[in-house]
Amino acid sequence: MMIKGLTSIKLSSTSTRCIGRTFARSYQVAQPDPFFKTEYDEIDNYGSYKNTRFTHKLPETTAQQSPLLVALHSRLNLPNKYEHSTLSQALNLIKNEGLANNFGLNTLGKNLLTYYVSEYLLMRYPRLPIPVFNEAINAYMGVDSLYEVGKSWGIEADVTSKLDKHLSQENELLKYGRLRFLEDSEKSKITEDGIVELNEYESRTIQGNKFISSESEAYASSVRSIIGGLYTHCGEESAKKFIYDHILSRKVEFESMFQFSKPTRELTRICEKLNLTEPISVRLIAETGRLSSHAIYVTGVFVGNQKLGEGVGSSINESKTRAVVNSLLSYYLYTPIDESGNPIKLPSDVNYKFEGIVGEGDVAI
Amino acid sequence: MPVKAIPKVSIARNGVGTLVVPCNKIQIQYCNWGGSSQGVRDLLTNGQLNNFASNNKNIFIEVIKKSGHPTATFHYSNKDKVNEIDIKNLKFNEVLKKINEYSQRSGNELFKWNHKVLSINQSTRGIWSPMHEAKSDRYKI
Amino acid sequence: MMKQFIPRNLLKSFQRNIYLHRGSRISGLKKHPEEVFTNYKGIKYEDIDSNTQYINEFLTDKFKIDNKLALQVITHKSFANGIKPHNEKLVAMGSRVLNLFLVKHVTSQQTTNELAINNQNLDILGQPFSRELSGRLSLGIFAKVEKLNTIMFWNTYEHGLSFENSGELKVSANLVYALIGAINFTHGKTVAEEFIKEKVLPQVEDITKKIFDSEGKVE
Repeated sequence: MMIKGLTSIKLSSTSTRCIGRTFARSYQVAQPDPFFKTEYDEIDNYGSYKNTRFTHKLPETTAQQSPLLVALHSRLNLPNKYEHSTLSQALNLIKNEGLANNFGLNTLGKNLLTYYVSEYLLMRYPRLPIPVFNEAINAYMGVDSLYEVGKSWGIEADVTSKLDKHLSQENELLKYGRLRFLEDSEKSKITEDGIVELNEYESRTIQGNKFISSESEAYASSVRSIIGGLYTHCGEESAKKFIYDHILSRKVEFESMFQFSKPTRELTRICEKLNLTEPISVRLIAETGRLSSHAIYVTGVFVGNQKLGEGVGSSINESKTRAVVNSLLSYYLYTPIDESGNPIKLPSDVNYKFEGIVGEGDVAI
Repeated sequence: MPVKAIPKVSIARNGVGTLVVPCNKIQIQYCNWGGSSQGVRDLLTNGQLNNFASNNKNIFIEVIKKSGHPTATFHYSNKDKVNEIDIKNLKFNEVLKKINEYSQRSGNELFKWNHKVLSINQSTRGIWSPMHEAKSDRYKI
Repeated sequence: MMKQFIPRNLLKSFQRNIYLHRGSRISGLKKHPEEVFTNYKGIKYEDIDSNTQYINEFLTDKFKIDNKLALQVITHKSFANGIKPHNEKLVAMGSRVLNLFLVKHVTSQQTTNELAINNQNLDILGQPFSRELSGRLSLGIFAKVEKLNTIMFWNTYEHGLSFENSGELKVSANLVYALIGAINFTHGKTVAEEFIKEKVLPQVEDITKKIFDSEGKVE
């Protein structure tokens, strides 16, 4: 099929000259990871792709004999269709032992999680500002949260080396039920209290004085992979239910996630965006009296005769700011409901009908 | 940027949505010779522990043979709590009772809460405010 | 009749004189709304059919969306400082629907890979080709080829630059995401996935293939 217009668009990776200035090509096309030694027949023959770095999978009969896997399977109430070998693969992050690892399952689970968490937030809190929206997604499915989830599922990390296992005569099958993310050389590392040596991955994640430990990333990745595995064996519906049961059932305090720098100006801009023509006024509603020992003021924000919010403070200025922040919060944290007062349906629900609102985006100030 | 976001981590509410039993591993240590382990040895031979294990597939049970008084160690996924209890000189049914009891715990210390509600949610009704009474009913200073 | 309470400051007639500036931007001066709400091609921001014609033509009746929503789809957050409804949230929804659909699509093809789980080949995930299917470049070109981006409301510091360097590529790709998002909002996920399968995927696969062909030549 010939695509018209494509020829007119320059696609070379050499620089382009425009109006006397030279620009380097800004878009970088994704590059293959040479580590996987991927082979394929045709670039768009998806079924033919094969990562030859991995040579085998754990046989299902072996996986079923690992008590840790059986216990985890039953603890998470996974359906019988969910193979134990997939569960074991979801816990494997080791790259170069030939045993298939969780890379694909992780990607799959991540996409499922991202969709369902975003959909939930976009429909339930349509007006969240984008920075808060992104942070809210992080609160549900960021590394820290998924690490806690993985821990609460009782997943054990594999921290003993081959030699230790041999010496303690440990059943070999136990290993396949543990979270494997450390190479043998890293396991026998000597550690000192109070000193943390960062590995390559960890030093890349430093932000301020925080970093993501490879342990927490490994737990998070295993949680994502288990969700991905659920999709492959039992389909999207059960993966969705699993995400709602385990991830979205957790509590996130949205009201404490906002940091306003210029609340009053922001409120004015929002009113402008909403076409509220009457001017905003911030007015005192009640006070205990200026000479009382601990004076308290109650202030309201009004547009015309409508009250947007109310704040209490120990000085007039404080109560004013609180009132403005409260009215901003009540705008941003609005949740639509349907006619009978129930939460509205989400696009992935059966018999979906659009009842809520579409977020209209943030304003610049 | 008009508004910045403060990073938060979601708070677990085990039991909302689904329940993942916090006790995930029990280690039972006994001695093949000592008299104080008689109850545990009975428990192992009469198949009651097997019954318990097949009824509680979510718990990984490890039996360790080691000299000394017998102990049972319970591992909870809740903040990696470990609870070790003494089961010396107990009859097999008493040991089973202990195992049953501890396997159902959350791993938190037991405590008495002397108030009506323990919750992480805000009250739906809000706090009563004297400032929102009608002006005529307010207390005058 | 009960007398309605009106605050005193509202009773006063509210008057102020303000100069609305036309022409190039001068800091401190308020721009004339007529100029602010006109895009660089001189098209006025209005809820009329001619503005959303390209979107509506492309969608056909099956995937029809509200005209107001279509206007939101073609408005980028850079337009008029975000004072009009723009497509930020639609993009957030659409990009995720598309990514999830593509992941499901590429893994569900017939495979002989013995490491596949339940006949789903996961080795394709994370590969450049499958990633570029939902990439900015493919979708930006798709929007251009389908003429979806003919009328867009957006702003950049330099409209004279090339398709890619002016940022038009990115905004056009966002428009495609937003369109998918809008369909997801209006008709639900099943219909949105049908839309991708029927209207977007065949073209985008071809475009992505061409991108990789041309990449190969340069190397």
